[in-house]
Amino acid sequence: MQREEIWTEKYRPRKLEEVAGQNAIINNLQSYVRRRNLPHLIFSGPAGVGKTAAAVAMARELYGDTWAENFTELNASDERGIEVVRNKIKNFARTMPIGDAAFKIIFLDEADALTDAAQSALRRTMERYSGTCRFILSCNYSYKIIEPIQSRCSVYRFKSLSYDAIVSRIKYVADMERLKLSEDAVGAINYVSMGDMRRAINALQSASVLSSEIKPEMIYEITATARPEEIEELIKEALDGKFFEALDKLEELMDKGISGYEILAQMHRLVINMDIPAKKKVELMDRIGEADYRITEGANERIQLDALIASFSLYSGKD
Amino acid sequence: MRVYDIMDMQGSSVEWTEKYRPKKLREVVGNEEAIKELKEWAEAVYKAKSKKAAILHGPPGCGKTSAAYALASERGWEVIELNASDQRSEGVIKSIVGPASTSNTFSHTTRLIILDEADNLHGNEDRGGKKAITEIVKKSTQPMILTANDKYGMGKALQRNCRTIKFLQVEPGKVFRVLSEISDDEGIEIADETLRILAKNANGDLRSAINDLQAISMSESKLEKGDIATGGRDVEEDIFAVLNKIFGVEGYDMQEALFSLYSVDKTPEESIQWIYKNFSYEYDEESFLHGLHYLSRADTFLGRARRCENFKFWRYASSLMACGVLSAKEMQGGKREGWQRRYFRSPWQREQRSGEDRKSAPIREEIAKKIGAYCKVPLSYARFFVVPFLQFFFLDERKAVDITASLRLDVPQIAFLVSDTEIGAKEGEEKAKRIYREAIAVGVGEGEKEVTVEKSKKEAKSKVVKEEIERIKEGEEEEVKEVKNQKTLGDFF
Repeated sequence: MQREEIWTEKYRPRKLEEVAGQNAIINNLQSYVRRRNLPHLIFSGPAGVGKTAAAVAMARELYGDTWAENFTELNASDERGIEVVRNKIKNFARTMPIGDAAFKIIFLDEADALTDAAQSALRRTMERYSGTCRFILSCNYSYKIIEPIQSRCSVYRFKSLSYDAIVSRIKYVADMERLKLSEDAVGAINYVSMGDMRRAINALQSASVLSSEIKPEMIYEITATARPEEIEELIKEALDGKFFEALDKLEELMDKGISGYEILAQMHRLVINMDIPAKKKVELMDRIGEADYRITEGANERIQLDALIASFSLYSGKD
Repeated sequence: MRVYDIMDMQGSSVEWTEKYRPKKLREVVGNEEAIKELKEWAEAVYKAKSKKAAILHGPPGCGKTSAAYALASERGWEVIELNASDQRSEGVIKSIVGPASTSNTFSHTTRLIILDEADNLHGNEDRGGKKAITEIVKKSTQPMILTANDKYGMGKALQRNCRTIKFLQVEPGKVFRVLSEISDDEGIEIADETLRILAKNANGDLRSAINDLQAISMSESKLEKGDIATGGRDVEEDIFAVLNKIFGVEGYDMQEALFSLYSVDKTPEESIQWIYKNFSYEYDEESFLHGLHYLSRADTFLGRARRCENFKFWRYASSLMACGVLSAKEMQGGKREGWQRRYFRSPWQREQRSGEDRKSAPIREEIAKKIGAYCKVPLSYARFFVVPFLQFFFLDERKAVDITASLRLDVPQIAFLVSDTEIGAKEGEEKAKRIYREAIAVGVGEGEKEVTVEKSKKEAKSKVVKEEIERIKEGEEEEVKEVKNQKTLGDFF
C-alpha cells in the first residue's frame, strides 16, 4: 500500500517553472540557473508564498542528483544564537562543494529571527566563503535583516499569491490525487488559504480524507471556517437593526464549533468588501478589533461578541 | 545526469565585489580625504610616537575593508584578519593577534592586523574582547586597522588609542563610473540609464550597487530599464505607490489600498510612520481629524500587538491606518485647491535633522567649557543657562566681539552661536570670521595675552586651545574647593 505523505512536501515544486505565482522572480532565478551562478539572495514575503519552494527548486535544477549534498536548510528560529553562525554555518560554508558544483547553497529560513549579533557574524562569512558558498536568507520582512547583509545580497520580494496561482496549483494536485473538485470548492479553498499555498494544500488534503469528491462545505468544516456568506449575512442583519436575528446566526456558527476569534477575523476580512459607506466600514473594523483585543485579554467571548453585534445594530441608524 | 562545464562554472562564480576589489589605494573609489589620511597614518606608523591603530568607520559598502587591503598590498604588508564571524573573546584575540602584533623577529615584513567589524563584539561570546583589543592596540608594534559602521560602538578607551578616519557614502556619479567600467570589462550591454538608476538606488553603498549589477547581468545579457524592478533595492519607491493609494490619489479603493499596504516590504510599525508623516495639510479640519482618529486607533493596536506579543492585531492596525486615512479623503471629496503633493523621502526626516544637532553638540560643549572656565561656574550650569543666552547676545555684533575676545572662541564656535539667527549659512560664516578678526584685534589691544596676528591663525588657535585646556583643568579643581572670584554674565555688558 502506498504510504500517505504530507502533500505540501509531496508536491513541493521540483522545477522552478512549477513555482506558482511569482513569475518575475522565477524568471530571474531561471537565468541564474542557466548561467550556473547566483549572488547571495534575500527572499522576503509572507508564509506559504514559495520562498522555500523556489530555493529548493533552484537547487535541484542547479545540481541535479547531488542537490541534497550541496543544499542545506537551516532554520534560524530553532537555533538563532551567534554560535550557530560561527560553528554550524561556517563549517558548512568552508567545506568544498560535492561533485562538479562550483558552490553550495545555504538556505537560512526565518533569517529575521537571527539576533543582530549573529547577523553581523554572518556578513563576513558570506563574503569570505563566496567562492564556495551562496546564501539564501528567507524572512518575512527584509528590513529586519541588517543593512550590511542587505548590501551583500539581491533582495527578492515574494508577494501574497493570487487567486489564479492558488487555483492552478490546487487543480494540479487534485488531478494527481484523482479528486473531484467543483468550482465552488476551489473558491472555498482559495478563501481559507488567504494567499498561503501551504494552507490551501493542507485544506485539500484534509478534505480528501473525508471523500474523493471535494465540496465547499467540507473545506469550511475541516478548517473550522464559516462560509463567507454566513458572516456577511450576520453583519448585514445586525446593521439593519435586526439584532435578535443576527444573534441567532451567531449562535448557529458557534454551535458548529467555529471560535469567536475566527468569526471576528472573518468579519474583519469581509467587511471591507461589503456594500456599506466607507466611513462605516472603518468604524466597524475598529470595533471588531476592539472586541478581539478584549477577548484576547481574557474577557468573555460571548459577551463581547453579543455586545459587538448590539453596537452594530445601534450604529445602523447613523451614517 | 547532467554534466556541467566545470571551468565555466568556476570561472563565473566569482563575485564581482571580490573580483574588482581595488589592489591599490588610488583604485579605491571616492573618499579621497579618508584615503589621504590613511596614507599619512601608514607613513607615520613607523615613527615612535604615532598611534599604531586606525579606526576606519563609515556606512556599509563605502570601501573601508577594501582600503585596508589595498593599503596592505601596496606596501607589501602581510595581512592577518579577524572578523565578527570568528570568535573574538579575550583569549582568542590575544592568542592570534597578540603575538602577531608585537613580534616580527624572523623577517622584517610588517604585518597589518585587520579587525573587521570591530563595533560588533558580542557581549557573551566575545567576553573580554573589547578590553583585549584596547590592550593590544596600546602595545602593538605592528599596524592595526579596525573597521566599524559606528565608531560609538567601540568604547571610548579604544577610540582614544586609535586614529579615527571617517569614510563617507560614495557619490552616485562615482558609483555610476565604477558600474560602467565593470560592465565594459565583463562585456555586458547595458543602458547608461539603467546604470544611473542602479547607482542612485544604491544610496552610496558601492558594494550593493556592484551586487545588483551582477545580479541583473546574470538574469539577462541585454539589460533594459525594466530589469531593475526585481533587482532589489526598490522598496522605497514602493511605499510611495502605497501612499498614493492610501491618500486616494487615484481613487477610493479600500481593498486595493489595504492589499498594497500588506504587500509592501515594511511592517505596519514602519508604515504608520510613513503615513503619519505624509498625512497633512491637504485635508480640511474635519476630515483630518477623522483620519487622525483612525491613525491613533491603528497605533493603539500596534501597541497592543507589541505588548501582548500577538501579531494578529497588526491586521487591525493595517486596515485602520489604510482605510481610515482613505475614508478621510473620501469625506473631503478630493484635493484641496492648489495643493501640490510632495512626499517626505523618509519618515525619519525630523530625526535626521537632530543628527545635525548631534554634530553641533561637541561645539556647544566646547563653548560651555570655555564659559565654565571663564566664569568659574559648573559645566552643567554653563551648558543649560549660559550657552542659550549667548546666542541672543550674538545678535549684537559688538557684544559678540567682546564675548569672543574674552572667551577666546574660534570660528566654528562663533559660527554656531550666530547660526540660530535668521541669516543663511554662508553669511553666518562670514559674520563669524569678521567677529573673530575683530576679537583678535580687541584681544591684542588689551594686551591680555600674547596672541599676535602675524602668527598663522592655526598656531594661535592651537595655543589658545592648549591654554584653555589648562584653564579648564584649573577651573575644575578650583570648583571643587570653593568658587571664588566669580565672574558673572554681567561682565559682558
